Amino acid sequence: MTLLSVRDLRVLFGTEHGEIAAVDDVGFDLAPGEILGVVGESGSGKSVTALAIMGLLPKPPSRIGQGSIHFQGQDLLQLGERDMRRIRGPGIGMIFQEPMTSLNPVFTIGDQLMETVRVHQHSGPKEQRERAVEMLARVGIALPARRLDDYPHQLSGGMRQRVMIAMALICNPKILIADEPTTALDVTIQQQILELLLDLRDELGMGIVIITHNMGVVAEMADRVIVMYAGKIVERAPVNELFERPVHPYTRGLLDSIPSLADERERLKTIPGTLPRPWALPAGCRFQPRCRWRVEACASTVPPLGPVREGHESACLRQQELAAE
Amino acid sequence: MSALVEVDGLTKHFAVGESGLLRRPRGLLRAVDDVSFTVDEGETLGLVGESGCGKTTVGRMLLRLIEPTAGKVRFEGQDLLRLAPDAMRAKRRHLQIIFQDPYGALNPRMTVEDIIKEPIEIHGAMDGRQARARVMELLSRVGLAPEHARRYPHEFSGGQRQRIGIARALALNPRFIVCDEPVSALDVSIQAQIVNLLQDLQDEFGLAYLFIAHDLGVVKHISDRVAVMYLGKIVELADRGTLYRQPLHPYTQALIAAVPEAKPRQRRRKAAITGEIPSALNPPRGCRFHTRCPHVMPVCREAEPPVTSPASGHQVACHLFPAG
Repeated sequence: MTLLSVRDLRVLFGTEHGEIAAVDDVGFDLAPGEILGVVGESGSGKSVTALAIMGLLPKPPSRIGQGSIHFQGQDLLQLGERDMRRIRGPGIGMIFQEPMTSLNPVFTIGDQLMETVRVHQHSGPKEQRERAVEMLARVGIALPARRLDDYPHQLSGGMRQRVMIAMALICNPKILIADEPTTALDVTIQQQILELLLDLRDELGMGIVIITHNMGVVAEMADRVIVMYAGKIVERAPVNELFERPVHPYTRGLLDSIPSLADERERLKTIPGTLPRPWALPAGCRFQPRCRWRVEACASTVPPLGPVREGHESACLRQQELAAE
Repeated sequence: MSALVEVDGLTKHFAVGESGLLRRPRGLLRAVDDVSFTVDEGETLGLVGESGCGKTTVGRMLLRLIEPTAGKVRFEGQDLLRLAPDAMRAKRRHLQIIFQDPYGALNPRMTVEDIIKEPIEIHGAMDGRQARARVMELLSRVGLAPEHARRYPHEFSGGQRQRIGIARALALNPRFIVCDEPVSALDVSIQAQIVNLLQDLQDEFGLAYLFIAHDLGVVKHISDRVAVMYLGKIVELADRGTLYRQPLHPYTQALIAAVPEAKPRQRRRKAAITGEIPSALNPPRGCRFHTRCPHVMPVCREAEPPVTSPASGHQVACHLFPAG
């Protein structure tokens, strides 16, 4: 069963350099209870994809060039803002890297949580309060009833992230989109939040899209992984397969460049060059100027995403050779 | 032979929240408390810890960008804290710093050439022609092109800006560089380039680094020895192999266990250490880690643990490892 189905998504942004495709031909499915990892660096299009699903892209400067996003039998891209408001919250919840940007500094935690319940569930003040306390307790906040009267700035970064998770989950969404949910947090707090997300998934059975630049986070959390580069999916595979038999040169480069706690290498392998600017994308394969596997055809042909093995796809002209290595 | 840098009892307390008629501070932020370590010539000492542990303050105090409350910083045997401002400025050519944020650390109105040349001019080290030649030499050494000299910082990517910051730090041939989170603002594929560059420069020029970071993988890769800080204190210090293979302090153990590893087949649900990092404004008494420690004992709530050395070169401050 598919919960969310994104097809051929293309998101364009008007800029001083003309219209550019921040997301180009992106598609994936998400099943209930599944965790999909989306990995990429700056400009990969991973966050723009998330905002497109939520209907939160500013228009203009952005517009949807093509594609569909199906959720519960409806194409979200065809819905108006009123209908999307009914989807956000009870349908799809989202959490961001920096909780302070999504919590309102002038309202208490309790006000904000209860407002969310009120809008979506039309319940009375007493039930709203109970639900807010229950949710804060669920995300691991001590003395939740007392915290309701706190303002966001009175909480630590880890606590704010918990409050934001509580707010995203208070309407029991079917899907949670987590955009770099632990990037701003310390590693011991990151671990607490990741464990919390896994618990909530097990308990509530929601599907999670976790967007991150951290390969370690993906390895700990995801069932399947999508790797994005400069707006395109370059590789997609089940998590063990991706980490053990990566095919695309970019995925390989990324995995090789991380200094892990286990490795004893004297030198790190690097990906040469820099990330392309969105308005100056290379012709052909967008990774080709940095690729050590580059051949002449790479500069003229856009490699399609195609199967390498069962359940494993990649977008590289030389992927059969690379997979056979 | 004595170490290049010797830090002894370094302490920084900030008075915070002045209020009332008499402007009396309401609290004392114990950002750094009695920190001691050495850095040898050509060595990299890693300094890790979570936000608010004081690692950045330590780095800045070594260069006296922040004046310590107490303690000693000896460079080649000379106590920097007792130098007059002029003498300290002259010393600074030997001690440099690279910052986390390559965007904020470079003056946006100066060309790359002027940015790199500035320290040379301040120290009156060379005439104009020599200085210009030195800039070109540095640009090429850090992997930038001669034509980059005339451009402005905003024209560069994050990794390139960090290269500019490194070139500027190298301009006066320093012997010691404080690297304060030099790769944490960079994309993953760019981080490795900068880490390798720092290692090459160290080999070539015999530089010593204090490498401050929160990423345990990067610190392990680049460091010879590693010190772990928690709430203003060094809780453990050892050579990197020992520290990562046999961490003694429960905080070091928790920190290492919390790092998500890129090995999905080995994943397992872990018991995360609980609790928030307490405020340095009002640190827990006794051992500062006792509120989150899985091995807490009554003594930990009362007495600060002494620094002991269970093995040669391995220091730990924990009541599980008493002296003697």
